[in-house]
Amino acid sequence: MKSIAAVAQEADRFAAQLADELRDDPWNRFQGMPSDGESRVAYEALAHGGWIGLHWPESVGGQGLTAAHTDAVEERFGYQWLPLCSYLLGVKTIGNAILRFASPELTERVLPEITAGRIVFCQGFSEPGAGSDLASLRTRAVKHSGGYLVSGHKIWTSSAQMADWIYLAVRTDPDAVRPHRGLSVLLCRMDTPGIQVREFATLGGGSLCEVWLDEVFVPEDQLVGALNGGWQVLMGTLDYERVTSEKVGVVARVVDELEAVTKRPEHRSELRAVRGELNAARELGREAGRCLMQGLPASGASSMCKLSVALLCKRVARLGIDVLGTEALIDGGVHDGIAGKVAALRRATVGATIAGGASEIQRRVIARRGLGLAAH
Amino acid sequence: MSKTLLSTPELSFEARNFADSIEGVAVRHAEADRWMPGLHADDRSPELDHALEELGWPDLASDPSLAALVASAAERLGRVLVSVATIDRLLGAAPLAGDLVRHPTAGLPLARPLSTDDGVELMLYEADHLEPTTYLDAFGVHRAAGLRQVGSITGGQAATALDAWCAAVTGYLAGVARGALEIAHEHVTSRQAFGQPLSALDAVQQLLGEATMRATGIQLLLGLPASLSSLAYAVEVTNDVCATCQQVTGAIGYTMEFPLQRRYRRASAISVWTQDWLPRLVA
Repeated sequence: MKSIAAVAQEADRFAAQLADELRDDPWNRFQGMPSDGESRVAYEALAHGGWIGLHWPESVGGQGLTAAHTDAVEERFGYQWLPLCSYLLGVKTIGNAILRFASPELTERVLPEITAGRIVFCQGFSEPGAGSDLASLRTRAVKHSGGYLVSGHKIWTSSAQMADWIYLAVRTDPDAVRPHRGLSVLLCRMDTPGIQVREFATLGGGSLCEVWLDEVFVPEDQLVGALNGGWQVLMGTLDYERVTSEKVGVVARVVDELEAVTKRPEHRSELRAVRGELNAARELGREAGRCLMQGLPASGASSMCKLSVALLCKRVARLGIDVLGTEALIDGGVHDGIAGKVAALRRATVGATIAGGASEIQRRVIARRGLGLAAH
Repeated sequence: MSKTLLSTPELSFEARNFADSIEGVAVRHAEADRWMPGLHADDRSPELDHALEELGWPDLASDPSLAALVASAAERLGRVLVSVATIDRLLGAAPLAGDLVRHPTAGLPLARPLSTDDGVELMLYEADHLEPTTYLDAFGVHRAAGLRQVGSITGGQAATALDAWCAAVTGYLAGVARGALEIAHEHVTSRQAFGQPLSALDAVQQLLGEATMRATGIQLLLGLPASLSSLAYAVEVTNDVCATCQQVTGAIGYTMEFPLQRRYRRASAISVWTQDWLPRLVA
């Protein structure tokens, strides 16, 4: 098996070249957070380069490497500021969750399409009345001749404007004693009649979508996990989503570039501590990855990773402004030197402590799942 | 506190055994806290120094091949909260910051690092007079008068000793943070408020959730080679974690009878000395 360092170096070369090819794409030029950047060109290039599903079994198109290889590669993709939204949703989050929770038939049908770059996924979790409180979701799925009819309204759905499939959290038992017991997860094609998408721009330089579903038919063999057992699938999916190695790469890039221009001793001193914090964030991600790979409870560790990286992103954006002063906010795009990156990061990090589960939720998960503190 | 509360780096059999042995003697020789505001206090224990010497603790500063053992063993020393003099033992000298020196020992020089074009040296001093002073922690702090340089440790010898000392301070701080969290955890899960344990309050969970993430982060850093960035971050984290633990333990944590305040003071005192040294350690 190739060493992690060798694979990461190869990934770095690949990503640097691809980033250069994409540098004039207006959506990515001003994207402060590569994890929110969209590009089907980039996604297909990752697939053709063999970078999708590195630690997945070869039987579903993977390379049979380890999760540690994947983490290291994702960090290099972030370092090179690749637009990664489709990859992170479809591969790191949903792909891994399918591998863990879906039936062998569904896994064998879908994962090879992902590794080939033919399926871009979006994730239909949040709703107008269910964000942090995911168990309150109201999108209904009703049994209907060999499948389900799904109706509801999803929001904050990244990639929906270009996605081929949606990974959908639905309520299948409205009479369940507790709200989280009546949920299920379905895979649904986005070209199914009854789906409408509206896209809107964000501060970070990308977009989010809302998705309306009106009696959308989903075949029953596209159920992930058990019927009404969706809560476990959803929580497990979030565990994958919250290991944000790519953002470690983004921060490492900004820290490296800041270090080259930082003169004042107090800024150099803070940069030193920030590098320590960066290394700690990376180690927290590895710890979460290790738990996930070994089938151990991972929610506490994943939330630690998510929280640490989100707070670090904000700290580095603030430090960049302290170091560069007024020049820091010249918003010339992420390829316009360190100032362009800091300005874009400053915009995008507003979302870092919100998207993928607000920091308040992460702290609560750590307290309850990690420390074992009581719920209310 | 459950094992999953704070993840720790995977250690080799040798490193784990050594850390267990170090912890064993630290627990046996731990000193009661005799510090009070306005008193000069020194928490050194000659018995502990002797026991650590028998385990080979001071040898870690002279042999780079033993570097991997330092941080995890020092973490245990910090958790038990033995004297910081055990860490400074790796320097073979008493650390000097300005004209203040902690834990001066007869026959041992005073020292501070100096960054040069060729690397970092450890400059050695003697003082004409040492005046005991009060301090925030039982560091045996003295003000030195008539300081004069008497030599220096340079090259590989200085680098090995300072690397070991940096790893040890980082580990010690991680242990202090872990100890503080353990005390806070015990308090919030047993203390009742509003008809339920404190730990059921969201405000308490928010504070301890973030503190746990930070304390786990510096634990995991101990699995990497020692670095000034790890040390700088450990200083920040341990101070923050101890302050958070003081907040959630409320008034009882503020009393001298409760063990947490000792960690809070220790984190503050180590930090201010470390922050004086950090810029001097950059080659």
